[in-house]
Amino acid sequence: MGNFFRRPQVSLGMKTKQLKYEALVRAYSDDLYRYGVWLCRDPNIAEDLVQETFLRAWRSLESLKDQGAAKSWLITILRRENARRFERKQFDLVDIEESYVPDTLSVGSEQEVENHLLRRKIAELEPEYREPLVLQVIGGFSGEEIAVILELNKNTVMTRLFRARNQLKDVLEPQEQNRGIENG
Amino acid sequence: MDDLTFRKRIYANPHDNAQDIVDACQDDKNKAKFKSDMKTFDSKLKQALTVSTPDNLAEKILLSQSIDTQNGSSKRTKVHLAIAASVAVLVGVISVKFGLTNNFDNVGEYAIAHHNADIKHASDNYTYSLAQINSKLAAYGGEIIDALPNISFANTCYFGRIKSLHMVFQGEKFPVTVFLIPNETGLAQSTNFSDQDYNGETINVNNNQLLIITHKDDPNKDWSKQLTQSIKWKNV
Repeated sequence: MGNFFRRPQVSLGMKTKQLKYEALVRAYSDDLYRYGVWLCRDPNIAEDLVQETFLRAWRSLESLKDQGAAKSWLITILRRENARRFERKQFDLVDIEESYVPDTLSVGSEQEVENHLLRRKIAELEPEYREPLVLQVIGGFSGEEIAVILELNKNTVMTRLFRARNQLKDVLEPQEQNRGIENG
Repeated sequence: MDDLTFRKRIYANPHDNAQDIVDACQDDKNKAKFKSDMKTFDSKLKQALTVSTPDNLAEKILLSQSIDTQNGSSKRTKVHLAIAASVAVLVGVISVKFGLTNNFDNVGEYAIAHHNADIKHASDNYTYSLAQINSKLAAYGGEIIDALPNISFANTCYFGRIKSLHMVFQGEKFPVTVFLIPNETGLAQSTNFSDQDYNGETINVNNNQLLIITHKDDPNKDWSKQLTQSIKWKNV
Protein backbone atom coordinates (compact mmCIF):
# COMPACT_ATOMS: atom_id res chain seq x y z
CA MET A 1 0.00 0.00 0.00
CA GLY A 2 1.33 3.37 -0.95
CA ASN A 3 1.16 6.23 1.37
CA PHE A 4 -1.87 8.27 0.36
CA PHE A 5 -1.24 10.93 2.83
CA ARG A 6 0.97 13.82 1.92
CA ARG A 7 3.55 14.51 4.55
CA PRO A 8 2.68 17.78 6.21
CA GLN A 9 4.76 20.67 4.87
CA VAL A 10 5.38 21.85 8.34
CA SER A 11 7.44 18.82 9.39
CA LEU A 12 10.74 19.95 7.86
CA GLY A 13 10.41 23.40 9.38
CA MET A 14 9.51 21.86 12.71
CA LYS A 15 12.46 19.54 12.53
CA THR A 16 14.87 22.38 11.84
CA LYS A 17 13.33 24.37 14.66
CA GLN A 18 13.63 21.39 16.99
CA LEU A 19 17.29 20.88 16.13
CA LYS A 20 18.06 24.55 16.54
CA TYR A 21 16.28 24.54 19.87
CA GLU A 22 18.04 21.43 21.16
CA ALA A 23 21.38 22.96 20.25
CA LEU A 24 20.48 26.09 22.22
CA VAL A 25 19.37 24.10 25.25
CA ARG A 26 22.51 21.99 25.28
CA ALA A 27 24.83 24.93 24.72
CA TYR A 28 23.36 27.41 27.16
CA SER A 29 21.19 25.75 29.83
CA ASP A 30 24.04 25.30 32.32
CA ASP A 31 25.30 28.87 32.07
CA LEU A 32 21.76 30.20 32.14
CA TYR A 33 21.09 28.20 35.29
CA ARG A 34 24.25 29.57 36.94
CA TYR A 35 23.25 33.07 36.01
CA GLY A 36 19.79 32.37 37.47
CA VAL A 37 21.27 31.06 40.71
CA TRP A 38 23.30 34.20 41.22
CA LEU A 39 20.40 36.38 40.16
CA CYS A 40 17.84 34.99 42.60
CA ARG A 41 20.12 33.06 44.97
CA ASP A 42 17.86 30.04 45.05
CA PRO A 43 18.75 26.91 43.08
CA ASN A 44 15.13 25.74 42.86
CA ILE A 45 13.75 29.02 41.63
CA ALA A 46 16.69 29.25 39.26
CA GLU A 47 15.78 25.88 37.76
CA ASP A 48 12.16 26.96 37.29
CA LEU A 49 13.34 30.21 35.74
CA VAL A 50 15.50 28.36 33.25
CA GLN A 51 12.61 26.04 32.38
CA GLU A 52 10.29 28.96 31.78
CA THR A 53 12.94 30.84 29.82
CA PHE A 54 13.44 27.96 27.42
CA LEU A 55 9.71 27.38 27.00
CA ARG A 56 9.29 31.00 26.03
CA ALA A 57 12.33 30.73 23.79
CA TRP A 58 10.72 27.75 22.01
CA ARG A 59 7.50 29.65 21.47
CA SER A 60 9.26 32.64 19.97
CA LEU A 61 12.28 31.00 18.37
CA GLU A 62 11.37 32.61 15.04
CA SER A 63 12.20 35.99 16.47
CA LEU A 64 15.83 34.98 17.00
CA LYS A 65 17.38 35.98 13.68
CA ASP A 66 21.03 36.22 14.68
CA GLN A 67 22.31 32.95 16.11
CA GLY A 68 25.32 34.77 17.55
CA ALA A 69 23.01 36.80 19.77
CA ALA A 70 21.28 33.69 21.18
CA LYS A 71 22.91 33.85 24.58
CA SER A 72 22.07 37.48 25.30
CA TRP A 73 18.56 36.85 23.93
CA LEU A 74 18.08 34.03 26.44
CA ILE A 75 19.53 36.11 29.28
CA THR A 76 17.07 38.89 28.45
CA ILE A 77 14.15 36.43 28.56
CA LEU A 78 15.35 35.07 31.89
CA ARG A 79 15.67 38.56 33.38
CA ARG A 80 12.12 39.34 32.24
CA GLU A 81 10.84 36.10 33.77
CA ASN A 82 12.59 36.94 37.01
CA ALA A 83 11.02 40.40 37.04
CA ARG A 84 7.58 38.80 36.51
CA ARG A 85 8.18 36.69 39.57
CA PHE A 86 8.23 39.86 41.66
CA GLU A 87 5.19 41.28 39.92
CA ARG A 88 3.22 38.17 40.74
CA LYS A 89 4.64 38.09 44.26
CA GLN A 90 4.14 34.36 44.22
CA PHE A 91 7.31 33.52 45.97
CA ASP A 92 8.33 34.39 49.47
CA LEU A 93 11.61 36.15 49.60
CA VAL A 94 13.96 34.75 52.14
CA ASP A 95 17.35 35.63 53.50
CA ILE A 96 20.53 34.79 51.67
CA GLU A 97 21.69 32.44 54.37
CA GLU A 98 18.57 30.34 54.05
CA SER A 99 18.06 30.58 50.35
CA TYR A 100 21.45 29.96 48.95
CA VAL A 101 23.75 27.37 50.39
CA PRO A 102 27.04 27.12 48.60
CA ASP A 103 28.42 23.67 47.87
CA THR A 104 29.20 21.73 50.99
CA LEU A 105 32.54 22.65 52.41
CA SER A 106 34.63 19.64 53.12
CA VAL A 107 37.76 20.15 55.13
CA GLY A 108 40.02 20.08 52.17
CA SER A 109 42.24 22.03 49.92
CA GLU A 110 42.99 25.71 50.15
CA GLN A 111 41.15 26.08 46.87
CA GLU A 112 37.92 24.75 48.40
CA VAL A 113 38.20 27.16 51.29
CA GLU A 114 38.74 30.03 48.87
CA ASN A 115 35.79 28.93 46.78
CA HIS A 116 33.59 28.83 49.83
CA LEU A 117 34.68 32.27 51.03
CA LEU A 118 34.25 33.79 47.61
CA ARG A 119 30.78 32.34 47.14
CA ARG A 120 29.59 33.75 50.43
CA LYS A 121 31.00 37.13 49.54
CA ILE A 122 29.52 37.06 46.02
CA ALA A 123 26.11 36.20 47.48
CA GLU A 124 26.42 39.23 49.74
CA LEU A 125 27.29 41.64 46.95
CA GLU A 126 24.64 44.18 46.00
CA PRO A 127 22.68 42.75 43.03
CA GLU A 128 23.67 45.75 40.92
CA TYR A 129 27.33 44.73 41.32
CA ARG A 130 26.81 40.99 41.22
CA GLU A 131 24.83 40.85 38.02
CA PRO A 132 27.32 42.51 35.65
CA LEU A 133 30.10 40.46 37.23
CA VAL A 134 28.30 37.16 36.52
CA LEU A 135 27.54 38.30 32.98
CA GLN A 136 31.20 39.10 32.42
CA VAL A 137 32.84 36.10 34.09
CA ILE A 138 30.29 33.32 33.39
CA GLY A 139 28.59 34.79 30.34
CA GLY A 140 31.79 36.06 28.71
CA PHE A 141 30.06 39.28 27.67
CA SER A 142 31.97 42.49 26.95
CA GLY A 143 31.26 45.77 28.74
CA GLU A 144 29.23 46.99 25.75
CA GLU A 145 27.14 43.80 25.65
CA ILE A 146 26.46 43.94 29.39
CA ALA A 147 25.41 47.56 29.00
CA VAL A 148 22.83 46.53 26.38
CA ILE A 149 21.49 43.61 28.45
CA LEU A 150 21.19 45.66 31.64
CA GLU A 151 20.09 48.82 29.82
CA LEU A 152 22.84 50.88 31.39
CA ASN A 153 25.61 52.94 29.87
CA LYS A 154 28.99 51.33 29.50
CA ASN A 155 30.76 53.58 32.01
CA THR A 156 28.28 52.61 34.71
CA VAL A 157 28.84 48.94 33.92
CA MET A 158 32.64 49.31 34.13
CA THR A 159 32.38 51.18 37.43
CA ARG A 160 30.16 48.45 38.87
CA LEU A 161 32.56 45.75 37.69
CA PHE A 162 35.44 47.59 39.33
CA ARG A 163 33.54 47.93 42.60
CA ALA A 164 32.45 44.29 42.56
CA ARG A 165 36.01 42.99 42.20
CA ASN A 166 37.31 45.56 44.62
CA GLN A 167 34.97 44.23 47.32
CA LEU A 168 35.72 40.60 46.54
CA LYS A 169 39.46 40.93 46.36
CA ASP A 170 39.57 41.76 50.07
CA VAL A 171 38.20 38.34 50.91
CA LEU A 172 41.32 36.54 49.87
CA GLU A 173 43.78 39.25 50.83
CA PRO A 174 42.37 41.03 53.84
CA GLN A 175 45.79 42.22 54.80
CA GLU A 176 46.37 43.99 51.53
CA GLN A 177 44.73 47.38 51.51
CA ASN A 178 43.72 48.77 48.18
CA ARG A 179 45.12 52.15 48.95
CA GLY A 180 43.54 55.09 47.28
CA ILE A 181 41.17 53.28 44.96
CA GLU A 182 38.19 52.65 47.19
CA ASN A 183 36.73 56.03 46.35
CA GLY A 184 36.93 55.58 42.61
CA MET B 1 48.77 55.90 32.27
CA ASP B 2 48.50 56.80 35.93
CA ASP B 3 48.33 54.05 38.49
CA LEU B 4 44.77 54.71 39.61
CA THR B 5 43.30 54.66 36.09
CA PHE B 6 45.26 51.51 35.32
CA ARG B 7 44.00 49.71 38.41
CA LYS B 8 40.43 50.76 37.83
CA ARG B 9 40.55 49.50 34.26
CA ILE B 10 42.05 46.16 35.31
CA TYR B 11 39.60 45.71 38.18
CA ALA B 12 36.77 46.28 35.73
CA ASN B 13 38.25 43.83 33.24
CA PRO B 14 41.44 41.88 34.05
CA HIS B 15 41.53 40.67 30.45
CA ASP B 16 41.60 44.17 28.97
CA ASN B 17 44.11 43.99 26.13
CA ALA B 18 43.69 47.48 24.74
CA GLN B 19 46.90 48.96 23.38
CA ASP B 20 47.29 51.53 26.20
CA ILE B 21 47.05 48.76 28.80
CA VAL B 22 49.58 46.60 26.96
CA ASP B 23 51.95 49.58 26.70
CA ALA B 24 51.55 50.40 30.39
CA CYS B 25 52.44 46.82 31.34
CA GLN B 26 55.55 46.93 29.17
CA ASP B 27 56.69 50.18 30.73
CA ASP B 28 56.06 49.22 34.34
CA LYS B 29 56.81 45.83 35.89
CA ASN B 30 54.49 46.51 38.82
CA LYS B 31 51.59 47.13 36.51
CA ALA B 32 52.31 43.93 34.63
CA LYS B 33 52.36 42.02 37.90
CA PHE B 34 49.14 43.63 39.06
CA LYS B 35 47.41 42.60 35.87
CA SER B 36 48.72 39.07 36.11
CA ASP B 37 47.58 38.80 39.76
CA MET B 38 44.14 40.03 38.84
CA LYS B 39 43.88 37.46 36.06
CA THR B 40 44.71 34.74 38.59
CA PHE B 41 42.09 36.15 40.93
CA ASP B 42 39.60 36.16 38.09
CA SER B 43 40.10 32.48 37.42
CA LYS B 44 39.35 31.82 41.11
CA LEU B 45 36.28 34.00 40.74
CA LYS B 46 35.16 32.02 37.73
CA GLN B 47 35.57 28.80 39.65
CA ALA B 48 33.48 30.15 42.52
CA LEU B 49 30.74 31.39 40.22
CA THR B 50 30.57 28.09 38.37
CA VAL B 51 28.09 26.40 40.68
CA SER B 52 27.12 22.84 39.93
CA THR B 53 24.04 22.38 37.78
CA PRO B 54 21.12 19.98 38.36
CA ASP B 55 21.42 16.51 36.84
CA ASN B 56 19.83 16.15 33.43
CA LEU B 57 18.94 19.84 33.23
CA ALA B 58 18.97 19.92 29.42
CA GLU B 59 16.85 16.74 29.26
CA LYS B 60 14.28 18.17 31.64
CA ILE B 61 14.01 21.34 29.57
CA LEU B 62 13.57 19.34 26.36
CA LEU B 63 10.90 17.25 28.08
CA SER B 64 8.92 20.37 29.04
CA GLN B 65 9.15 21.62 25.50
CA SER B 66 8.02 18.27 24.05
CA ILE B 67 4.95 18.31 26.32
CA ASP B 68 4.25 21.89 25.34
CA THR B 69 4.50 20.99 21.65
CA GLN B 70 2.26 17.93 22.00
CA ASN B 71 -0.39 19.98 23.73
CA GLY B 72 -0.10 22.60 21.01
CA SER B 73 -0.46 20.11 18.14
CA SER B 74 -3.37 18.29 19.73
CA LYS B 75 -5.00 21.70 20.06
CA ARG B 76 -4.47 22.35 16.34
CA THR B 77 -5.90 18.95 15.39
CA LYS B 78 -8.90 19.54 17.59
CA VAL B 79 -9.44 22.99 16.11
CA HIS B 80 -9.28 21.56 12.59
CA LEU B 81 -11.76 18.84 13.50
CA ALA B 82 -14.02 21.40 15.12
CA ILE B 83 -13.95 23.55 11.98
CA ALA B 84 -14.70 20.53 9.78
CA ALA B 85 -17.55 19.50 12.05
CA SER B 86 -18.91 23.02 12.09
CA VAL B 87 -18.90 23.23 8.30
CA ALA B 88 -20.72 19.89 8.07
CA VAL B 89 -23.30 21.07 10.53
CA LEU B 90 -23.83 24.32 8.62
CA VAL B 91 -24.24 22.53 5.31
CA GLY B 92 -26.62 19.94 6.68
CA VAL B 93 -28.82 21.46 9.30
CA ILE B 94 -29.22 24.77 10.99
CA SER B 95 -27.54 24.43 14.26
CA VAL B 96 -28.55 26.46 17.23
CA LYS B 97 -25.25 26.01 18.87
CA PHE B 98 -22.06 26.87 17.08
CA GLY B 99 -18.59 27.66 18.30
CA LEU B 100 -15.09 26.54 18.90
CA THR B 101 -14.45 25.53 22.43
CA ASN B 102 -11.29 25.00 24.39
CA ASN B 103 -9.10 22.10 23.35
CA PHE B 104 -9.96 20.48 26.66
CA ASP B 105 -13.27 20.90 28.39
CA ASN B 106 -12.24 20.19 31.90
CA VAL B 107 -9.24 20.03 34.13
CA GLY B 108 -9.33 16.24 34.35
CA GLU B 109 -9.10 15.73 30.58
CA TYR B 110 -6.16 18.06 30.43
CA ALA B 111 -4.44 16.40 33.37
CA ILE B 112 -4.76 12.92 31.85
CA ALA B 113 -3.43 14.16 28.49
CA HIS B 114 -0.49 15.88 30.15
CA HIS B 115 0.22 12.81 32.26
CA ASN B 116 0.13 10.50 29.22
CA ALA B 117 2.45 12.77 27.25
CA ASP B 118 4.86 12.88 30.12
CA ILE B 119 4.93 9.29 31.32
CA LYS B 120 6.82 8.15 28.19
CA HIS B 121 9.63 10.63 28.78
CA ALA B 122 10.01 11.10 32.51
CA SER B 123 12.98 9.46 34.07
CA ASP B 124 12.13 7.51 37.21
CA ASN B 125 15.55 7.30 38.76
CA TYR B 126 16.03 10.89 39.83
CA THR B 127 15.39 11.75 43.46
CA TYR B 128 14.44 15.16 44.76
CA SER B 129 15.26 16.05 48.33
CA LEU B 130 12.49 17.06 50.69
CA ALA B 131 13.96 20.58 50.86
CA GLN B 132 13.86 20.90 47.06
CA ILE B 133 10.22 19.83 46.92
CA ASN B 134 9.21 22.03 49.80
CA SER B 135 10.78 25.09 48.25
CA LYS B 136 8.65 24.44 45.13
CA LEU B 137 5.53 23.73 47.20
CA ALA B 138 6.03 26.89 49.25
CA ALA B 139 4.86 29.02 46.32
CA TYR B 140 1.46 27.31 46.71
CA GLY B 141 1.47 27.38 50.49
CA GLY B 142 2.25 23.67 50.87
CA GLU B 143 4.79 21.83 52.94
CA ILE B 144 5.44 18.10 53.17
CA ILE B 145 5.52 17.23 56.86
CA ASP B 146 5.38 13.46 56.72
CA ALA B 147 7.22 10.73 54.87
CA LEU B 148 6.10 10.26 51.27
CA PRO B 149 7.46 7.96 48.56
CA ASN B 150 10.35 9.07 46.42
CA ILE B 151 9.61 11.99 44.11
CA SER B 152 11.28 11.50 40.74
CA PHE B 153 9.97 14.57 38.95
CA ALA B 154 9.00 18.00 40.26
CA ASN B 155 8.83 20.91 37.92
CA THR B 156 6.82 23.89 36.92
CA CYS B 157 4.64 22.93 33.97
CA TYR B 158 2.13 24.95 32.05
CA PHE B 159 -1.33 23.59 32.50
CA GLY B 160 -2.81 25.18 29.42
CA ARG B 161 -1.79 28.74 30.22
CA ILE B 162 -1.81 28.17 33.94
CA LYS B 163 1.39 27.60 35.82
CA SER B 164 1.30 24.40 37.81
CA LEU B 165 3.55 22.21 39.87
CA HIS B 166 3.88 18.77 38.33
CA MET B 167 5.20 15.98 40.55
CA VAL B 168 5.68 12.26 40.02
CA PHE B 169 5.81 9.97 43.05
CA GLN B 170 7.30 6.52 42.68
CA GLY B 171 4.80 4.10 44.17
CA GLU B 172 5.59 0.46 44.78
CA LYS B 173 4.08 -0.75 41.52
CA PHE B 174 3.16 2.36 39.53
CA PRO B 175 4.17 5.99 39.44
CA VAL B 176 1.60 8.51 40.62
CA THR B 177 1.28 11.89 38.93
CA VAL B 178 0.21 14.87 40.97
CA PHE B 179 -0.60 18.33 39.65
CA LEU B 180 -1.03 21.32 41.87
CA ILE B 181 -2.92 24.08 40.09
CA PRO B 182 -4.81 27.18 41.16
CA ASN B 183 -8.61 27.01 41.38
CA GLU B 184 -9.01 29.61 38.65
CA THR B 185 -8.05 27.83 35.44
CA GLY B 186 -10.84 28.83 33.10
CA LEU B 187 -11.60 25.11 32.74
CA ALA B 188 -14.39 23.28 34.51
CA GLN B 189 -13.30 21.37 37.60
CA SER B 190 -13.69 17.61 37.53
CA THR B 191 -13.84 15.67 40.76
CA ASN B 192 -13.27 12.27 39.17
CA PHE B 193 -11.88 11.52 35.74
CA SER B 194 -10.27 8.60 33.96
CA ASP B 195 -9.13 7.04 30.71
CA GLN B 196 -8.60 3.35 29.94
CA ASP B 197 -5.56 3.03 32.22
CA TYR B 198 -5.70 5.79 34.78
CA ASN B 199 -8.04 7.19 37.38
CA GLY B 200 -7.91 10.79 38.48
CA GLU B 201 -9.26 12.61 41.46
CA THR B 202 -9.34 16.29 42.42
CA ILE B 203 -9.02 17.51 45.98
CA ASN B 204 -9.42 21.18 46.86
CA VAL B 205 -6.72 22.53 49.14
CA ASN B 206 -6.50 26.21 50.05
CA ASN B 207 -7.03 28.05 46.79
CA ASN B 208 -5.57 25.21 44.81
CA GLN B 209 -6.61 21.95 43.26
CA LEU B 210 -4.56 18.86 43.85
CA LEU B 211 -5.02 16.43 40.98
CA ILE B 212 -3.93 12.88 41.70
CA ILE B 213 -3.62 10.42 38.83
CA THR B 214 -3.11 6.74 39.69
CA HIS B 215 -2.94 3.59 37.60
CA LYS B 216 -6.11 1.52 37.70
CA ASP B 217 -4.11 -1.53 38.82
CA ASP B 218 -2.26 0.30 41.58
CA PRO B 219 -2.83 -1.76 44.73
CA ASN B 220 -2.45 1.36 46.87
CA LYS B 221 -5.92 2.92 46.94
CA ASP B 222 -5.05 5.44 49.63
CA TRP B 223 -2.93 7.87 47.66
CA SER B 224 -5.23 10.84 48.09
CA LYS B 225 -5.55 10.22 51.81
CA GLN B 226 -1.81 9.79 52.18
CA LEU B 227 -1.09 12.98 50.25
CA THR B 228 -3.62 15.12 52.08
CA GLN B 229 -2.33 13.93 55.43
CA SER B 230 1.31 14.48 54.57
CA ILE B 231 1.09 17.99 53.17
CA LYS B 232 0.34 20.93 55.42
CA TRP B 233 -1.20 24.03 53.84
CA LYS B 234 -1.19 27.67 54.68
CA ASN B 235 -2.48 30.68 52.77
CA VAL B 236 0.05 32.51 50.62
